Order: sequence, then C-alpha cells, then structure tokens
Amino acid sequence: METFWQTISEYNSHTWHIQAVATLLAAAAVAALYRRPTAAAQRCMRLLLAALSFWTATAYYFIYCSPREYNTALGVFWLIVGGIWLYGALKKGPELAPVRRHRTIAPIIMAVPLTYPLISLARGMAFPQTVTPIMPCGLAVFTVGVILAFSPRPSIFILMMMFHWAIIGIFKIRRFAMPEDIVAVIAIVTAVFIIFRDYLTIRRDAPLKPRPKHISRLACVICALILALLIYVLASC
Amino acid sequence: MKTEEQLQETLDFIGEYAGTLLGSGVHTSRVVRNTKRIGRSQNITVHITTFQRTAILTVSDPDTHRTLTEVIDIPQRPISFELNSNLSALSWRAADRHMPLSDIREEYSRLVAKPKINPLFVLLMASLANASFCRLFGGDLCAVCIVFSATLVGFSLKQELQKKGLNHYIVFILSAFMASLCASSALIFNADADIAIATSVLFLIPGVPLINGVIDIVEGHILLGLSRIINALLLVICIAIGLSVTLLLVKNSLL
Repeated sequence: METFWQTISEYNSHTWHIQAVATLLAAAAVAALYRRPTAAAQRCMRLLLAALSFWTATAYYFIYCSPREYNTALGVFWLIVGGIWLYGALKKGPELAPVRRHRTIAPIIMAVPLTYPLISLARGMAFPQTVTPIMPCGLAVFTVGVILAFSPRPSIFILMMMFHWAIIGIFKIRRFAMPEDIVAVIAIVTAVFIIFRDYLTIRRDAPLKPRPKHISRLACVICALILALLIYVLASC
Repeated sequence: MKTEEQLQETLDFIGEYAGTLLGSGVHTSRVVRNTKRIGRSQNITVHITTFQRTAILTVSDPDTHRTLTEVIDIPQRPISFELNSNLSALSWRAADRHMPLSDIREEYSRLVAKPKINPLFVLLMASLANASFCRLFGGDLCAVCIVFSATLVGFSLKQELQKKGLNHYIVFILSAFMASLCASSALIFNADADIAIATSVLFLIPGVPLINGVIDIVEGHILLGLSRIINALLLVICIAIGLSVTLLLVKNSLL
C-alpha cells in the first residue's frame, strides 16, 4: 500500500501541469460537442480519449507505477482502450451527438472525476498524495460519461471494459484504502446500466428473445448485486 | 409414384433441412436418421454422405426407380439446441402423420424463423456461468467478480468481432487474450488469480464440436468426426495462444 501511494505522489508532483491542461482540454472537448457536434468536434473527442488512455498506459503505469507489481497488464489494458478510440477517430466510428434524455445525468457523471481531489483532501490527504482526475479511475468514469452523453449506439465491448474497471475499483477500496473509488464505482455502474437499458430499448423490435424488459431486469439485478458488494466491502474495511 | 419435379422438390427440401441441422450443431447419425425419416414420410429413400462443409444427398423413388443426387453447402449457423430439438420433432410428426411436403415445409419455415436469443442475454448468462465455474473451482469472492467482468469483456469482444466477420481463429485468440488479461487483475488483490485466469477463458471452449466429433467417431462417421475434432482442437490452440500472451505479461508472478 505504501508503494501505491508513493507512486501516486511521484506521478502527481511530476505531471500536475500536464494533468491540469488535460482536464481543461477534456472540458473544452465536452463543451464543443454540446455546442455543435461537428465531425471535427467528434474526432477531437475521440483523439482526446485515445491520448488520455495512452497517457494512462505509458506515463502512469509504465513509467511512474513501474515499482508496483503487475503494472504491465493494466498498462496494456489502457493501451487497448486507447487503440480503440484511435481506430474510431481514424475510421470515423458511430456518430457522437448529445443524447437529449441524458442531458441531466451525463454531465454529473463526467464531472465525477473532479471530485476526487476534494475527497482526498476531505479525508486528510495532502497534495501530491491525492487522487486526481487524470488517473485510470477518473478516466474510466469520464469515458463512460462521454458514452452516456454523446453515443446512442455505443460499443458494448468498450463499455464492458469500463465496467471491469468498476469491479476492480470495488476491491481497490479495501486493498489500498482508497475511498475515492466509491464514487467511481457508483457512477460507472449507474451509467453502464442506463446505456445498457437504452441499447435494449432501441432494438426492442428486433425478433429476439427474451424480451428487452426482462434482460433489463436481469441487468438491474446484477447492478444491484454489485452495489451490494460495494457496501459489503465497505463494511468489511 | 412421384414425378421428377416432385422428387426434385422433395430433394431440395431435405437438402435444406439437413444443411440446417448439420450447420447448427447436430451429430451426423441424428441428421441421417431425421432425413431418412422425412424421406419415408414422402415414400422415398434417402442416402446422405456428410463432410465438414458440404453433404451429398441422393433420393430415389422405389416405384419408378428414379434417382436424383445433389451436393449441398452446409451453412454456418449459431448452435441452437432448441432448433435442433424442434427439427427432430418435426421429422417425427412428418413420419407419424404422413404430412404432405407443403405442410412440412411450412412448419420448417416457421421453426427456422423463430426469434433467436438476444446476444446481450447470452453475454450476461455466459458471464454468470463463467463466474460460477470460478467458484466451483474454489475461487474466492474477488476472483469470482473479476472473472464475471473479464468474461463480459472477452465475450463482448467475441460478439463484436464475429459481427464484423473476422476470421474466427483470430477472434478466439483476441477474446482469450482480453478475458485473461482482465482476469489477471486478480493478482493485484492477492485473490485466487490462477483460478481466475484459468476459468476466464472457459466460455470459449468449443464443447459442442468436441462432443459431436466423439459421437461421430463412435458411431462410424470417422471422417466428419475427425474433422470436427481437428476444428475444435484448433480453437483450443487459439485459446492457449491468447492465454499465453497474458501469462507472458504477468509471468513473474505465475510461471
């Protein structure tokens, strides 16, 4: 656990200015897509997500987290996420345009990573030993938020990758005493459920069984079980 | 007594019926029995020779001794036990009630057009099944949860790549790699990582071709049985390749 926080501390003290610029760029990309979802704005968002994923893989995991065990596998995970966004940017993936029915919840989800430093400070940590938005958990929440806000036909694969990160987050809370991840888990699980339900609703007329509402209920039960697991883990900390 | 057109029509239908059965995971002797049974219901004799991708079908009218032969392509269909069971039942109904060909064809079209299982439902159920396997093999709560989400990742990748029509050996390698890579995160939490990684790829095991291959060999359809087993073994090798890449990444802790 000491190594974990030490690596975070080093990462923050050396890259805080880059993280600040990346946060501003992310805010600008979101604003541009909300204002006018042109092809250029969509490409910028995809390139930004690719760049942030590659940054997380290389700078965070391969460089600053190299003293940690098993950093390679997690780095490769984010390299793959970055590769998918880059492929989408080069090949012009499905359209990114504001989804009207999510205009309240999506900005909240996208803003969740900004609460990380505040939670760290509130529990008595001091910079640079704080969790910041440009870290894997923050990026996972932001990615899911962008999908919720702008992608009516998302890739289930990338959604499941972010969901996997939420599951890891539950056990990170206990292993590394990192309560900042509580909001990440809740945000990702909620967003994934909403996207999943919408995905089923859009395809409700397809000749498939069981009916979408039954699959939605099953997904709801699974998400509820995951949140129950989160409570169990918190109780056992 | 049948005219040439009637015989041709019957041959076309039996060819389509046999192709559907072979393509959706039925072992050879069952296909042979079902097609012969439908042939009997139409008062004709059916002989079928099956291969991995094609089948040769001969029908003959015992009254006129007229014989027709056709080579049919076996379509690649998703494995469906429900469809297989329904098509077998159809052959029994045709034989018991001496149904006319038009009725059998109508019933067949209705059965084939039945709604398929939603891929998202399959995704959720396969992930739950894999997580259960992890528990059965002794994995702890953390390993079970990680296997669940790792299977969601691997299986969704498999579905998306299959939809894009990528070569299925490559699909298996990539899916096994992604599922095991995600499962390897169990190492961070001192969970039962070996069980998690091993069970994360179980959803890819080609169980139906392996079982059908063995049944075919036991029942004397050696050629098709061997080709099914070789096909299944190639898929198992692909799973091993995907898993090996992950093990090489985390080798310090597992190998």
